[in-house]
Amino acid sequence: MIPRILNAYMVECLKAMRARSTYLGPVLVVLLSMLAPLIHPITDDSGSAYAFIAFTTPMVLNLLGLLLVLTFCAGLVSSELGSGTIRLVLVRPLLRHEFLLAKLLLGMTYAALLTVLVGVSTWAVAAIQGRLSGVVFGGEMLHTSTDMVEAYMLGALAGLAPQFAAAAFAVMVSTLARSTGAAVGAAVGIWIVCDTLKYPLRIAPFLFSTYMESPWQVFTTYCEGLESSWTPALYYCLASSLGAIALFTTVAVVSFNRRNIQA
Amino acid sequence: MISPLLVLAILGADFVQQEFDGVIPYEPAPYGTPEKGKGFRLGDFNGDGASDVITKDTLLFQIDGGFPRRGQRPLPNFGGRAAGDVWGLDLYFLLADRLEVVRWSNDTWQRVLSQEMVWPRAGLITQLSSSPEENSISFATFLFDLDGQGAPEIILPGEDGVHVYRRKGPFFEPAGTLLAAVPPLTLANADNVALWPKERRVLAPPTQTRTFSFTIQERQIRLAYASPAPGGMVQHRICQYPVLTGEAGFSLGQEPALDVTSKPVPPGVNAMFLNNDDAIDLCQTQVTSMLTSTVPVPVLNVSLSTDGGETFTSIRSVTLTTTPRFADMNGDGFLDFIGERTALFDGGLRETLLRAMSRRRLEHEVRVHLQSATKGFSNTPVFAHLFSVDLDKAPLHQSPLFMRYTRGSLLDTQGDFDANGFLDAAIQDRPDRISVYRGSQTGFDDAPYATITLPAIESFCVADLNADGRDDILADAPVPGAPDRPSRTSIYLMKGGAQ
Repeated sequence: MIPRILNAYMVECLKAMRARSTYLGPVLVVLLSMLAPLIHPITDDSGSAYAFIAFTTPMVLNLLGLLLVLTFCAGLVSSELGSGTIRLVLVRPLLRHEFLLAKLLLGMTYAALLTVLVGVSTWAVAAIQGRLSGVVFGGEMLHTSTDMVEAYMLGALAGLAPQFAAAAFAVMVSTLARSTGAAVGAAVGIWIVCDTLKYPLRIAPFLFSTYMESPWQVFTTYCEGLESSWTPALYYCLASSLGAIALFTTVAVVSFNRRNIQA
Repeated sequence: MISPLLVLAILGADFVQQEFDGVIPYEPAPYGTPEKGKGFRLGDFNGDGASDVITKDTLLFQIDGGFPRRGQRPLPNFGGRAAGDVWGLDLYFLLADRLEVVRWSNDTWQRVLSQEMVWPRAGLITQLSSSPEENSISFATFLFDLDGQGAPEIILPGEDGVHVYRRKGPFFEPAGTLLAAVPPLTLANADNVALWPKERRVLAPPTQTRTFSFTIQERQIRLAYASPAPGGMVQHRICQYPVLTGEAGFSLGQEPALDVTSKPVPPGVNAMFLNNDDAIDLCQTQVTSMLTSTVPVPVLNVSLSTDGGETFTSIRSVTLTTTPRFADMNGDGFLDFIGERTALFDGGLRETLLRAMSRRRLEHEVRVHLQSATKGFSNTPVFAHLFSVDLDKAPLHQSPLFMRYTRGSLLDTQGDFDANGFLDAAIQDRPDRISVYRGSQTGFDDAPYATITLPAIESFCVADLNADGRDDILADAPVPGAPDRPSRTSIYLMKGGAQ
């Protein structure tokens, strides 16, 4: 099964690379990261470059990046369902859930790619315009440059979990919709409604979207010279994200297996 | 009938509400001071051995461990602004031009002394003179036993020094001005002088000022003041002189018992008494915004020094309150720093906005940085506790309850309700509830020790009203069923529980 999924994943990657729309997201996030010094200037002060990175990364990834992931992943299955090419694809020796998992892997790859691009571009801008020599407060070196890189890397790695959950959510919506437009609209719409109502309905602690920025909290607070701890926010983030991925994938597989793709 | 106290002794600790139909104009005392609440005073005014409470207009006698309505008496009216202090059974009132001493006796106020006085025009007396037509009473500390004879002396700061008045026969008389102790005069900032129109133009003489604080303990006077240092810095100084008693009055010893100065520090650094050693303790408080946030997130930066400015410990926290809290949490004689962190801004811009618009629950963390004799303040909290506060409305509505949260008024960590030597936390965690969490060496308990429920609590204060060693709570709330009536104060006495 795994070789078939990997094969399908490679095919999907090639398809995505051929589509021009795939490049829109990466270009946008890199552009926004490069232009971010206009909103958050980098000064020569110690810590300013890190503050820029801590400001830009979550902002680009969790506002624009999230929207891009939802849009991209919501079109992955629905576009094939809408155009009917799904029937041709499934002629191959490929089970439906394997096809779906390949699509999910593609969506996760896209989310990871955005994270990497944002990371590289923000660190590049910060390195060119500022000093990345650790965080100093009151003449005391609170965090060395190595500490900061480690905190960022760990944050980025952990930050992939909610991004992947968002991808799984959008793929699930994609399997339920009849067209790309409807899937994108539903994915974004449901997200906004859930976010708006999660606190009044007291479901916020269980939703992975609540913890989208939790992995960046430690890096951010390091920049501010504040006390910080990875736990328990990181545990909540990972648990809710992994739970969401499992739930959305199961729903997507079950619904896709039961779906009449001839209609 | 089973006594309520017996039930409490069996079941554990709880608050017992007392009858009181009025307002006690309390306000929490500043952190780091030995007082618990301002606006009222405690004392035994009828000599029955039980502590009574005196407010700006009422005397509340303690009867059978409580303050029932039948034990309330109005204070005498002096026809002007008065500052009161308590000495034994007597109440001393300073007015702008006289001294009144009264005592409760034979179920009425007896005038012990009424004397015309000429007070020094500074500090407290300036305040009393500012609106003499106003008929009100406030409380201040001006009675000290300087000579150790058991009778009080009146101590008032003046332009030229600290003035002392002592009793001779039935009356008080001036007994010296402690001149050497006061700091030198410095030029005051020039007030804005109008240049135009020409008729309003005046030649303003340069004014001079001196600002100092003093404490009196064991026949010694300790003064603290700041003087200018090169480079726009200031230098804090603490001098302590023995007070000598003679026939002519009081004077200071030639040699100070203590004379210490701090390192030159920036003007925003203030001197404090954070422990009992001779070094000057310093504290600087700055509120900045987070560099990394798109919304202005306030960061309180507190720099503390317990060695006269040689070394500083900086503690930063995201909090809406701007006043640092100090309290001796573990009863070791050193004031500890109580940091606070609000979770209102956690999770970035999107979560902050969502929470502000739609969430009524706030997470508030209390972080205790203990002070030790050798290491000063710990950089990281020794223990922390996360409290949840349920507001009446989401923060965006800026309800009075939320505004009190931003001022830090929902939390009090100055009370010891179980008399175990560790301070406890009293927090208004719902619009209608105050919960008390016991403190210990390792932090606060997870579950409340006792709670008070009262509709729409507007404020509260912690003080040991009945002097039983356990702190009690005063809380203001509207009168049920009478929304048009002004709020009234409820008294809750802590009863029961292990010491």
